[in-house]
Formats: sequence, C-alpha cells, structure tokens
Amino acid sequence: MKPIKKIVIVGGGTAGWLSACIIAARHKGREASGFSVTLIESANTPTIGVGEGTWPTMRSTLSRIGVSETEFFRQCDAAFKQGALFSRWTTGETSDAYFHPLMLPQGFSQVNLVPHWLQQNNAQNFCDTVCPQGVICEKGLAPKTISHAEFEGVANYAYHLDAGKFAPFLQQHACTQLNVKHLIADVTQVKLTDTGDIDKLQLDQDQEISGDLFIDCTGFRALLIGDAMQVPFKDCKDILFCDTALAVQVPYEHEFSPIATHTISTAQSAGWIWDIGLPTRRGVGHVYSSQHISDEDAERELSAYIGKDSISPRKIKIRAGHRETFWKNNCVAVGMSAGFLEPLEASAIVMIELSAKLIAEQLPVDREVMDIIAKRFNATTLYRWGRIIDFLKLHYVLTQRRDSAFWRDNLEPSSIPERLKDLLLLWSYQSPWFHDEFNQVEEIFPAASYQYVLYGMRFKTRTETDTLQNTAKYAERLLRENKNMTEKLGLSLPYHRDLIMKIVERGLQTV
Amino acid sequence: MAHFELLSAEQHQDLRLITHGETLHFTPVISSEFFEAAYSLPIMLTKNAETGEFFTGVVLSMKSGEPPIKNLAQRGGFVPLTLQCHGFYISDQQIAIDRDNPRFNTIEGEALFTASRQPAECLRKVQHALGKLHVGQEQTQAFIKAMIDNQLIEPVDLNFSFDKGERLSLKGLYSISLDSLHQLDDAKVIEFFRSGYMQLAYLVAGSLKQFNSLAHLRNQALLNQTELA
Repeated sequence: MKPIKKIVIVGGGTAGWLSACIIAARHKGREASGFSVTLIESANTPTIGVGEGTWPTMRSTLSRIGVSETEFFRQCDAAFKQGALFSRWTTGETSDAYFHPLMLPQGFSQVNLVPHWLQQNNAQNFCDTVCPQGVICEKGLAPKTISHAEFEGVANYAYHLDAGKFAPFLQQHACTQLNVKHLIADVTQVKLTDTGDIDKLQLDQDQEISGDLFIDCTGFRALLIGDAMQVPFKDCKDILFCDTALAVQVPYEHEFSPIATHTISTAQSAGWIWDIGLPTRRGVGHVYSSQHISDEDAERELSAYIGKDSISPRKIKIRAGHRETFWKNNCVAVGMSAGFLEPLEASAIVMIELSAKLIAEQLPVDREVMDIIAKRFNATTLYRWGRIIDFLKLHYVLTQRRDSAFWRDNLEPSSIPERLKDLLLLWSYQSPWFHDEFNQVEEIFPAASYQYVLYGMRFKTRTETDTLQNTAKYAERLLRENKNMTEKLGLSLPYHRDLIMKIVERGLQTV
Repeated sequence: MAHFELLSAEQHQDLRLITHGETLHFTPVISSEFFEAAYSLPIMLTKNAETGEFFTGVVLSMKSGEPPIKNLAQRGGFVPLTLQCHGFYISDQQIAIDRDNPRFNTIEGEALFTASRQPAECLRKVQHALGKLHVGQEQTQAFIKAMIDNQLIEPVDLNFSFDKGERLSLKGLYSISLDSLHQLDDAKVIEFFRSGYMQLAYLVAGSLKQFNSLAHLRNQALLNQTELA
C-alpha cells in the first residue's frame, strides 16, 4: 500500500498554476489527512506565455477553482472571446471570411439544420442562418450585460487574456486560498526508484523533495516526461506545417478603441496571422511554415498586416507534436511538455484544463492502481490530440487556395490523416451531427464546430430533399427564432469595451 | 424627456399635484418600509440595468403596464416612498421637480403652496418622504451589502399559469435564501439579530408568499373580465 497524497508539480507557467488550482480545489479539505500540492518554480526559466485565447470551458474551470470573474478581468486584462473570424482561408480574396462562433446552432440537439440551410443555396451564410453570434461579434457587442452574474451570459463565451498576468493571478489564488505550497528552486536531478518511478527531485540549495505523483509542467524542456522518463516525442509536422511564430503587441489608437470580441485569423501565403484584442493592447502574430517562407518575408507580411514598417517581433519556434504517452509510472505531463500544436483554435490552454481535470477527478488512491488510471488517461489524451490535429488540418484541406506551395502542399493526400479523409468522404453525403464520429465524453470539438468550419468554407454535402420533410416545419421555426434572437440581442447587448470597463469599475454580482 | 426646475413658491404658486400618480410594476423601497410592505406585497431584489448593483423593491403588478393588483385598502394604505416622491428630486439640498411628470398640472389635484406661499400639506408630506428616502437609501445599501457579502441572495424562478391560459414568468428577481440564512455561524447570527438585519432578511424571505395572493387576485380579475365580455 502506498497512498497517493503528495502531488509535486514542476513548472510555474500557465500549465503549472492551472493544474495546481484545479487539483487543489478538487481535493480541498483533505489536508488534514496529509494531502498536499507543491509547485516548484525555477527562478531562471522565463515562461513562454502561450495562448492568449481560451475555450468556454475556462468559465467553469475558474468558477470551480473559486476565483471571481470580476477579479479575473481586473488582474489579467481579460476580454470576452465569442469565436473566431477566419479571413482569406477559403479563396484568399480579401472579401473571403467566415465565423466559427461558440454558440451551437439553434435546436442543435433536436434537429440538424445543415441540410435545411444547404437547400436555401447560400441565401445567407451558415453561421448567421443558425446562430446570432456572428452578428454580435461583427457589431462588437459583449456576450452579456452588467446584470448577468459572474460566469453567466446570453451568448456562450470564452476569454482572451494576458498570459503573463494569468499565471501570477492563479499563483496568488493557489497559495492564499487553496493551500498550494510554492517553492522557488531549480530541479538539478531526478532520482528514480528501481521500478522506474520518480522517487525524489534534487533541488539546488541542497534540498530534496519526494512525492507520490509528479506533474511535468516544464514546457518544451519536458524535464520529467522527456529527460527523466524518456518518453519519445511524436512529431506531426508532416500534417501541420507551421513551425515558427513572430509575435508583437500592438497598441490601440486611443483608449476607447473598440475591442474585437473574437479572434481574427487571417490566412497569408505560408501560414496565418492571429489578432487578439485585450483591453490594453492587441496581440498579433504570424505563424508560418519556415519550409515555405523565409523569416524576413514572414515579417514583411506581418508588418503589412499591422500597417507599420518596423515591428521587431519576438520569434518563437514551434515543435508541432505530442508525447507518445503522457502518464508514465508516477509522472504525468500537462501543457507544452505533453505537446503543442500551432495556436489555431486555441487548443493549448483547454488541453491543460482537461488534463488537469482528469488527473484531479481520477486521482488514484494508491500507487497500486495508478497504472490503470494512467492507461485510461493516456487513451483519452491521445484521442484528444488526434482530434485536435484532425480539426486543425480540416481548416487547411478545405481551402480553394492554390496561390502558393504552402496551400498546395497542405492538400497532399500523404499529409492528411486517414480518419479525416474518411470523414470528409462521409460528410460529402451526410453532414456531421450526432453520429458515431464524435462519441466521446467531453469530445474536444463538438460536431457543431465541424459544421461551422465545413460550411463556412463552402464544403459541399449532398442533400436528399425527401429526407427533410419530417423536420422541415421545425427547422423553419428555428430559423425564424434565430432571426428574432439576432435582432433582439443586437439591440440589448452593450458594446464590448463598455462592459469590460464597467466590470473593472463596478464588478459583476456573484448571483 | 425630463424637464427639471428647482421648486419655488414664486414660480410654482399655481402648481397642483395629483396624489396618486403613475405606478411602476416594480417600485423601489427602502429597508424601513419592509415592515409595512411585507404584509401585502413581495419585497424582491433586482439589479440596476446600468450598474448591475442590487436594489430592493416591491412588486405591484405582474406585468409592466398593468395597474397595481392590490388597491390601497388591500395594501393596508401602503404607498412606497418613491411613489409619494415621484416627480420630485433633491438637488444640492433643494427640491427640484420634473415638470414633464404628469402628476403636475394647474387644474387637478392639491395645490403645492398655500395662498401665503407656504408649502401646503401635500408638499410637506413629500418633503418628509424625500428626507426619509435620502437617509434610508444608505441604510438599505448597507443591508444589501451585508446580504451579498454573506452570500444570502439567491435568484428566484417565478412562473405562473392563469386559468385563461396565459403563462407569465418573472425574470431577474432575487430573494434572500432561508437555507443560507440558517447556515450562518453563531457570531453572524447575533450580529445580524442586534443590527436588525435578521428581521429584515426574514421579512424579505417571507414576503415571497405574497405572490400567491397577487397571482390569485390577477387570476380572478382576468376571469371577471371574460364574464363581462
């Protein structure tokens, strides 16, 4: 018998502190029986601060760990994110754009509106036909009002945030409210037992720390899962080509400039540019394939987008891929040590949340059963990485662009995962909905997301008119309701910046 | 559009006031009014749409635009101070009026000033009410803050169906949770008891039952209308 009570997290970035909060909050009250969470942070390693975009899951995550949404807005320069606008991905023309919103199509659980929309032959784009959020975003409106309680809203939302402020915010909460112990030290050596478990970490200053479960949040360094446990890395640059990013911060024209309430993603000749609006500044970056464009040309495209000559961006190398397994013996990787793909669709932070939640909820009681939990964790996590890769690749394979080698190479059959190929063939006959292709609990991308991207990018699905009769009346009603709701929300929601200013000044109620 | 004027005997010698002006279906009340209000009307909390801050009020009708369900006698003569002061404001220690408020005219109602240019009975009542409101608003805010800080406020789902088929659901209303109140620690209970907050909290929570009589009366009124038609 070896009970699991001492959790040791290495790494003090977003992954480390978020994992610490999620695990400590889930096991709050067990301190008396010896349960503890310790986070070791190096004083010397700068954090990368990936991903300034979250998923809507962050609302329940923050709420569950017990932080106030008001304080989150105040301290992390947060803004509302209601989806992403994909510009120039389909044809490459300047007028080419579609929304991937966070709200589901109307009546999604009852009827699939895709075939009904397809019948209308592009009278209106898919997103605006089935949900109000694209229009809300275009108007620059917030997803809620000041009278909504924390974490509640009329439109589904996630956040944009300043990652450099998010980790310290979580740290403060973890240490003062959740009894997480914080050590500032460098891990100099990882000591293993005969069975290959991590026994102790040797720290500088002649300190040692033992633990029952070690969580590797050391980012690309992968100090535990890579160096110590020797788990190989599975590259996927044969599928997703982007391997370099240039990032800059862009100030607003004036302090009342509107803040975009969606990520703006604009395709370039060999990658794409993200544009994320925080209350204080915009975060803009170009992510591209260094095989297809030189750093100089990539910088030129970025500065053309921003409309400024000298931008001196920060360069970040991306190694697209993930570990072959994520939990080995008593060591589990969370965050970039587990894997990283390009920032398209903001999958980095949500993978941290989901992994930490899985660890927190299924935390093995004893070492004897840890391998069983690890096996499950690995199966689920591997499945998730696979679905993210498929979904990101989907954005590239639906393009009609042939104007550069980057876009042409993305269509190479050898670069497309088999599962995705099958699905694309299937979807040319039936649209994704509640079919077997997405059957996992906490499926990473819901079928609705596939719908928005497929039909935003003008994918063709055949529809048999006679199969629609049963649901035609209901569908008609849903489309009408959507129109009314779009109009109503357009008139009642406040401007995005106005609401953020109000939240910072007055705060949201907790009920 | 409102049209504000400072009230003066010279300028408003001929002005008259209609005692019972327009009523709102949700009318703000201050905590000192809870005692009287709670015997006939639900006292609820709701949020200011501009600031998101809570304030307390009584529900006079169940649908905006409808007249109060209970008449003055059924309310035991209770008229919320804000209604008594409707159209009157305090501006730098002076009383201002909104000339565009339909309560003011020169034909109907009671004169605001006497022939000797002294405040008449009806104006003195308003002055008194304004004074009470002024003091009471701060006390009410302090009470609400104590309720928020101790997580005693909870949203209430109010759904009604009437015999004639109409369904109403009132949104955005909050009350005080008895469950949470009963979970307060002993020190807090004594503190709230001594400060009078405990009684106020029970008045708010208990007044929720007044929805039964409001709904019953409204249902009866709707049925009577049908019979007349």
